[in-house]
Amino acid sequence: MTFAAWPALLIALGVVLPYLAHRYRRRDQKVVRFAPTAFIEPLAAETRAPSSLEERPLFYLRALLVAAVALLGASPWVRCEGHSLERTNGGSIAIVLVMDDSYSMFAREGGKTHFDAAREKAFGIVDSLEPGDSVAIVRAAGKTEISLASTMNREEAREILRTFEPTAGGADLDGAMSAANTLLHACPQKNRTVYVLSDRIEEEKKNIAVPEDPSIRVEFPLAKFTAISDCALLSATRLGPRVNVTGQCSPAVGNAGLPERELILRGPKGKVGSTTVRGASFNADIPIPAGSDVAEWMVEFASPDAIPESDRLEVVTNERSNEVVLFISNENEMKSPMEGAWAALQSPIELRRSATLSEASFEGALGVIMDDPLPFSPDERVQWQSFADKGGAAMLWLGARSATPVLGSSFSPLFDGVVAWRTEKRERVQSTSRSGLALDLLGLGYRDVSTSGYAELLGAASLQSLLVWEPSVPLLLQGSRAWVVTVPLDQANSDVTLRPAFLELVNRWADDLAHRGSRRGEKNVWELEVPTVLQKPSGARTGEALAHRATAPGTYTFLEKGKVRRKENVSPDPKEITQNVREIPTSRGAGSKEAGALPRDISWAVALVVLFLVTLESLLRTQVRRVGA
Amino acid sequence: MELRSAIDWANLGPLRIRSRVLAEGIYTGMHRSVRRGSGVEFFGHRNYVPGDDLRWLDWRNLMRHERLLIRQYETETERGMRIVLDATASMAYQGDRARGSKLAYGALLAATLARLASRMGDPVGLSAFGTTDLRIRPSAGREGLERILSRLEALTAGGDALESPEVFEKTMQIRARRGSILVCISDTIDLPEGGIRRIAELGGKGRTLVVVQCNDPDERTFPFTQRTRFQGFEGKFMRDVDPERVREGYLQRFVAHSLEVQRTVETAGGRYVSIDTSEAPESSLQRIVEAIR
Repeated sequence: MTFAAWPALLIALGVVLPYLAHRYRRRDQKVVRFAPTAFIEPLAAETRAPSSLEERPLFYLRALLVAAVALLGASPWVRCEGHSLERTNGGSIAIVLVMDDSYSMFAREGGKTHFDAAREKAFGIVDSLEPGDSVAIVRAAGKTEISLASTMNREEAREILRTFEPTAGGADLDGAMSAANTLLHACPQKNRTVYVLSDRIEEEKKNIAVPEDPSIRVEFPLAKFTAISDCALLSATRLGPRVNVTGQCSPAVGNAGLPERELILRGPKGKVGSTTVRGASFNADIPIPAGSDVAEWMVEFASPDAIPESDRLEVVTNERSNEVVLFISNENEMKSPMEGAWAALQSPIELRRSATLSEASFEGALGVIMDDPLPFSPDERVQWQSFADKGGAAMLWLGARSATPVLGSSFSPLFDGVVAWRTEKRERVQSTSRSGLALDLLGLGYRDVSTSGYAELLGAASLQSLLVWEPSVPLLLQGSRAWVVTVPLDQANSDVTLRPAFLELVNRWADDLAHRGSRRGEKNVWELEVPTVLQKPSGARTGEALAHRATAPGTYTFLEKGKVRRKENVSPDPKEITQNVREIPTSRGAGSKEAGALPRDISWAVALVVLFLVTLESLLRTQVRRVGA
Repeated sequence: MELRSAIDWANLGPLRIRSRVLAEGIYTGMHRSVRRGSGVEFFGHRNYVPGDDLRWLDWRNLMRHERLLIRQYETETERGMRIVLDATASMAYQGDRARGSKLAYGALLAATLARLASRMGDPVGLSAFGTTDLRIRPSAGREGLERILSRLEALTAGGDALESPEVFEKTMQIRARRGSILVCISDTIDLPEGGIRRIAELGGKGRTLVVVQCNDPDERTFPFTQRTRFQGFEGKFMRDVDPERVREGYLQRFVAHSLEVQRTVETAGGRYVSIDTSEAPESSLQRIVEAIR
């Protein structure tokens, strides 16, 4: 049933009911052909006292009809928000709902989040399905997930939507579109549509990759959202006598620049300290008063913004001091520059040096630093995959050995591509990124650093280049699983380790490692000392358990015996804190629709019909009165 | 069909027989006045002029006084009768108390009058206005009467004098000799504007006009009680009314209309007869004949 069906029924009722009332009014009336009718007083019918049963329903119905005309005539200011499913040839249809549950979907607009709007719209679409139609649900999270394979069971789809817990992480719309495409190709229906329920906010600016198959329509039922302006706290970790807070803000709109924002450290008894932050990405320290216990302390912005869930974070004391970072090096030096830098950082994480990397040595390691490593064998790659899946990170200092061609070896899964060693001199470095890290490193001596040889990465698309030798050969590359420096730690080869920037580089990587450990989100597993009940942000409670895994953003409440603790969980993906709204490709034309711009609005036609009916009725009445007068 | 069936010949009886019976009854009553031919009523003498018909020479006077005188009689010209019958749609009405529809009743009266006139040797003509203009030229004798009776029997109510006044106007173009009798039978309702006056004008130039206003008893009493939609036969009149509330006003208007018709006719020298279709036809005829005298 399309949205137009209800107005049509109402209007039909508006026509039928007056007719029935008319018939009721005339039920016992005789019609007599009478010659001297002209002698009968013409106003007699009007002067007759109307009975309430006869006249009032007519009046109310006519008033309703006029109101309907006004409402329909108000289009497009008043438009139907309902979404109808297009059925060409009258056959059953197959749809895929792509649910974007990324962080940006929690921006509030009109009192509810984009995700609430998406879920509401998804319910509307599922309700519009008819027997024989199939529906599938794809989660467009950082890792695309098929939440519901194609099924004709609408109740199941409703249940999935009802219990859909958003991850509030990153989004991969292209991956989700690909999955939707695959699902639809397996469906026998001819009418196939992908409904993308997304705000389309992502780091990438390129158009959304819609399926090439012209028989698959792509619709974007949500109204076009504006880019969000938001700051998110990414981590709040106690590092010695300070609380280190990192965060990221969406870029400034126009030339106004990003406003300065106040960060407050709040304990159970109130405000403990504060600092101000500014910029797209910040890393600030809030000193802790001596002798304070940071239990249940929170860091929060003084004023909330578009996504308040990410404006509050509890301070985590790094409890992983017994965990280590492995430093794999073949050098025989007594002390590597890396060990010296690590000691200077006074990090609570131990740096443990080893000559080789074994399966057992990965246990308990937060990260791995490798100096001039050999490419990984297939077995090692499996271990690295497992390590990376658990959140482990690596820092590779590539050297001549790294370029050794060993059959079946590569640096996957840290990065793809091939490493080649070049014995060429390079003396100047420039930045390809405006990130704080690159600028800081250049400012701390890496601008005129030199080397006599370097590794060149061929086909490493997953890494982002931050610093490059002139001319255009990367020095420092950053990926989600590894940071890669294209020179070894060997001081005879380059003076990279002799500059202050080296310490800053190691410090940043260590920070990233620490934040990975304390970061909330889908990797956030809370291990507890006693069995505890966890109340989720939705209000649902789990059974008693020693460990809980948080997924949805919001406040989690631990209900221990006689004690209630709260923890905030949010995992804003920095890619989502942006103002980029991905566009719908125009090349698909009618195949791709945006609900906000192209609503199925036929109210004007309905309004014309109603107006016609009202006018016709008025004309007929006028005609009868004129003749009878 | 409605109008045709409204003329309830079965109820009234065969027109020919009924009209004959009625005419016989009327004939007996008016025997003294029946004329026996032209020249019966002596009017006076005048001097003979060459060319006068010698049949009218007063021989007795010539023999006694030797003077050539011509006897003059009052009815030297025949008293032809023209019957004008309203056959518009409104004449189809028949209420519960009526003996027949107004048209059937009027046709019966017309047939009877025609038979009476024919019996006296007077030429009789018929004009009717309804769907079309019906006109039968005056003629004496049995053939003329039969022609009139046939047309009356085939007559149905129809036509709208308000919408098509030209038919009415054409019918009113009657050429009747001086001394002719014109009897117009109509309900006088839904006539074109000035229709009554136009009918009244027929009575000028030495002609005798009798206007018979023929109405149904329902039209005179307005006996309706339930809420009713009244729809006119002619024009597009329609009223949704509670009859109890409008009866008084209606009756006042109807009486005023009848008085106006009577006043108009009598002012023009005509005679006015109001009859009711619930009355016995003999009674109605008696009153018409009385009016003709």
